[in-house]
Amino acid sequence: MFEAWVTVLISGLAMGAIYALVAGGLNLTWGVMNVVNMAHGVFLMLGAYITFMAWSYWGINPLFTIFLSFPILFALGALINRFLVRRTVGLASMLLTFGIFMVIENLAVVGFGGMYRSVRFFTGSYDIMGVFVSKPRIIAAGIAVAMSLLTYWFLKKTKIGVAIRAISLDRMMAEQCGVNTNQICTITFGIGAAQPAVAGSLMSLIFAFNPMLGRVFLVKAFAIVVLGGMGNFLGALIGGLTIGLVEAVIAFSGNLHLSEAAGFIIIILILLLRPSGIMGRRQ
Amino acid sequence: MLEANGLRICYGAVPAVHDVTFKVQEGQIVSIIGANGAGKTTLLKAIAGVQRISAGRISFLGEKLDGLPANQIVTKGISHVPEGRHIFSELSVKENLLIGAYTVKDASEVEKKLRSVYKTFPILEERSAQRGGTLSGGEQQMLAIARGLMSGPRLLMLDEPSLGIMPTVVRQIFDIVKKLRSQGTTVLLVEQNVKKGLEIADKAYVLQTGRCVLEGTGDELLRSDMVRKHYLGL
Amino acid sequence: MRSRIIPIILLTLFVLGTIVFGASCETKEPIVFGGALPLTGWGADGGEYNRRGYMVWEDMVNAAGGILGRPVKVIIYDDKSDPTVTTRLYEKLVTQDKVDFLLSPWTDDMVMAATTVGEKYGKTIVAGGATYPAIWERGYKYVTGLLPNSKDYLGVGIRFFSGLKTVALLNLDLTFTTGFADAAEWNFPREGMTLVLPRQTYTGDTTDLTAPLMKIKAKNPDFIVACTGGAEDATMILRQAKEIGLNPKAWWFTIAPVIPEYIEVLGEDAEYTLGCSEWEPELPDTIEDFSIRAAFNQRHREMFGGEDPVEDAATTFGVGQIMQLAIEKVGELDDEKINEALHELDTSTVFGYYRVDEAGKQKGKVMYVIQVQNGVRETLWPFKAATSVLRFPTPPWDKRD
Ligand SMILES: Nc1ncnc2c1ncn2[C@@H]1O[C@H](COP(=O)(O)OP(=O)(O)O)[C@@H](O)[C@H]1O
Ligand SMILES: [Mg+2]
Repeated sequence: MFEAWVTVLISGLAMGAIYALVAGGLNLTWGVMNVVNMAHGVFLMLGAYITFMAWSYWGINPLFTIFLSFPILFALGALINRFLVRRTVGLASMLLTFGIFMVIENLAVVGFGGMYRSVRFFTGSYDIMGVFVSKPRIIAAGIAVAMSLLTYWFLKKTKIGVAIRAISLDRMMAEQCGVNTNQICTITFGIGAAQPAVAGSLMSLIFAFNPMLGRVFLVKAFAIVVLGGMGNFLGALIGGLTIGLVEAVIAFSGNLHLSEAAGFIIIILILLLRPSGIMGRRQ
Repeated sequence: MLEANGLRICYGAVPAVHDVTFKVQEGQIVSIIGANGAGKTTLLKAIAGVQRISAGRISFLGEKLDGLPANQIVTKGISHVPEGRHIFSELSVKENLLIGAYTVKDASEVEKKLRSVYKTFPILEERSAQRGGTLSGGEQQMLAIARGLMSGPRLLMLDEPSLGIMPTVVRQIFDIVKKLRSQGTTVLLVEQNVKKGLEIADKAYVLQTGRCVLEGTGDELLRSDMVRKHYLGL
Repeated sequence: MRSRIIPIILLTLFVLGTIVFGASCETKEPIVFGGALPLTGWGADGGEYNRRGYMVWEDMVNAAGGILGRPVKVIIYDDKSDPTVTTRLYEKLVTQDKVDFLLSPWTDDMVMAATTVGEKYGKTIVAGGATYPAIWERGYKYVTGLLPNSKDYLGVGIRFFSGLKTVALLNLDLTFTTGFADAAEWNFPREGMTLVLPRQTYTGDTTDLTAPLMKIKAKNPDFIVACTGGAEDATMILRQAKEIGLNPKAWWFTIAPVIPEYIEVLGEDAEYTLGCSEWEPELPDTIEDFSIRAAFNQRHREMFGGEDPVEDAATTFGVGQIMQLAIEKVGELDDEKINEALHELDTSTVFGYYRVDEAGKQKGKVMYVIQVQNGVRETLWPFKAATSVLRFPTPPWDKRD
């Protein structure tokens, strides 16, 4: 029973780490730029297809494909911001990104077809004294955590990172300090698209996916950003791990329906008790 | 060094500043005084590039300023320390200062600036790792000024630096402003605290409901009947 | 001004063209068949395959001289994967378009909605892509079906393994897969099987099945029936079962094993898994009469870029065939008589046998037990159609090479 519990909890944490990476990107576009980015899920889906194609056509090791999905989606995200999102605010930007989501998803259906794909590279598990640790999930989770921490370091320690955080707090003041906020927001949007793309690359190792892949994760990512506190970059990681863990505990002691509701119940509670998120500071 | 001619600034269709003309000479402290709502903040925002002007012209060192995006104004040598301080509350004191030096490319230059503002405001060095939002009002005002100095401006614009701050700290801040002048930084100061604003000024303008109604040296205005009656309550 | 004149000219030309062209070509009024399919929304894939079946049928019937000497016209609307839209569209088809016959929508929810309209106007619907038993258990007079209902569909697999004693049930939480799981639970006691723990339900949003699979593992059942909706959830189940070493003697999946990408996505992890197929493009004629299937396959490839037809196209083509046979048997367009004929027919289509009970439930269709062996779907049963024999028991994951 003990081994079973540990197996379930590790699996939950691994899933949480991947949620966190998806949420991290959203935290940038939502928390910094205040754009409710409905297109977030398609960046993830495109990342998964980049990995799938690089692996199936050119036999590239899927772990190396994150060096493709990151820059490609960074560029796409930056272009989308530069030529579309930047021109809108509020509800208009939400509708616009919803439109982008529809267009890209439908193009993907036409281009890739609706059938399921998967990268069969790591399967099976490590059996550590009766605890089963899924190979694809733990490898994906490790990379996801590394990626989240790298982004955190970038935001904390680099000049552009500090500028991004400044913009998230007071865009007008950042501009008056000499920050070209339009340009930095374009970079931010690029990273905000590249992060879920890496998550998507990792998911292609775990799931059978089709162009609808991103949909499931969008709602969870929004929930995690709320949980971790908007604009709080470590909060997204901790929020993601928390959701993954709580889902696993409830799935094992209760059932999956409860477990999926649980994430949202926590979020409602947090919003009532600590509106700024678990990591956020009280206003 | 700064010249504003016939400025007219509107919020929507409503003008907040009508036909204002003034000059700031290099090496001076120039004060703009006036009651709440007179249009002082609006004027500084226009110079800083965050508020569009609908008529007139702003030039700095002979170069046209209006129409430039706000992030370019800093590179021209103007720093804006806005009303309400606008500290980046979740950033550390040091990060706030580093953002102030965003336009400075040379890392050693940034380091030098940092040492210099820490010398001027020793309290900020003590608090350098603390989040900006945790500072007291006076400390935040110092941080805002220090951040403004990090870009090495030739003209520093201060909007109500004494607002909501303990008198001892106000005195400290005004001393620093004087020191800045002696070090060659020109200061454009907006104050509701008319007495303080005029005492320190080499030149001053009185703004009333968006119009410039009086100008002169600080001493002249302190002695003028109009100022004594309306603003000093004498 | 220009912008308005051009459409008017075009419209005039179009109307004139239709009159002139129509008058010269179509001497006889067509018999109109109407229906709605999910051409957009979640059901769009299945909807498109269904549409293709109807299109090929319309084309082939007309090429062969139509029905009762009259050409056939098929109208298909988009129900946007929403059953409330289905209701509205079928009302419109009957009252405004005044179609002669209704065609089947896809799937259960839409068929439930459409048959309610059909019942109201006395227009029989031969359900094409639906298995939910309630469709035929509401006492409706004007509905039959081409597919076996889910109790029979699950029954095949459970009867096949009737020696096994303990079973666990996984259930994707969608209407049709839950229908399968209900049908499985209905069948278990009839074959002497005991469910060792309550059915484990997961949703389309589930990303981790470790918890339910560990619970099942603790009970170590002989048999696992997974009411999956497709390759996506079946992949997650099998991969995670492999990870935790869940080893029943046999795995039975609904839907997934007949989906082409199932084997491609899972690779060797799909080996030994079983499922039920209602239709395979290359089944031999030994069991059911597939006489015109070669022609159907051929015409489908011609019309749709060389693609082979899938089951969902064969069903709608079969619906068309059944309607045609009934009309030809009656010899006139009388709804009542045609309804009777549809209930009495005992025949075969490209999809297979058609014979329904009084309620309209399909009883004649043969189902094929299939198992993945060496990366191919092999037919195990009926024995007359078998291409291989059962591989049993499924070896544990760590004992496979
Ligand atoms: N964002 C704004 N929108 C509309 N009106 C404004 C705005 N900011 C200031 N005003 C108006 O412009 C006038 C001048 O304001 P302000 O420049 O802030 O004055 P001061 O700084 O002298 O107190 C006031 O009447 C004020 O109500
Ligand atoms: Mg003001």
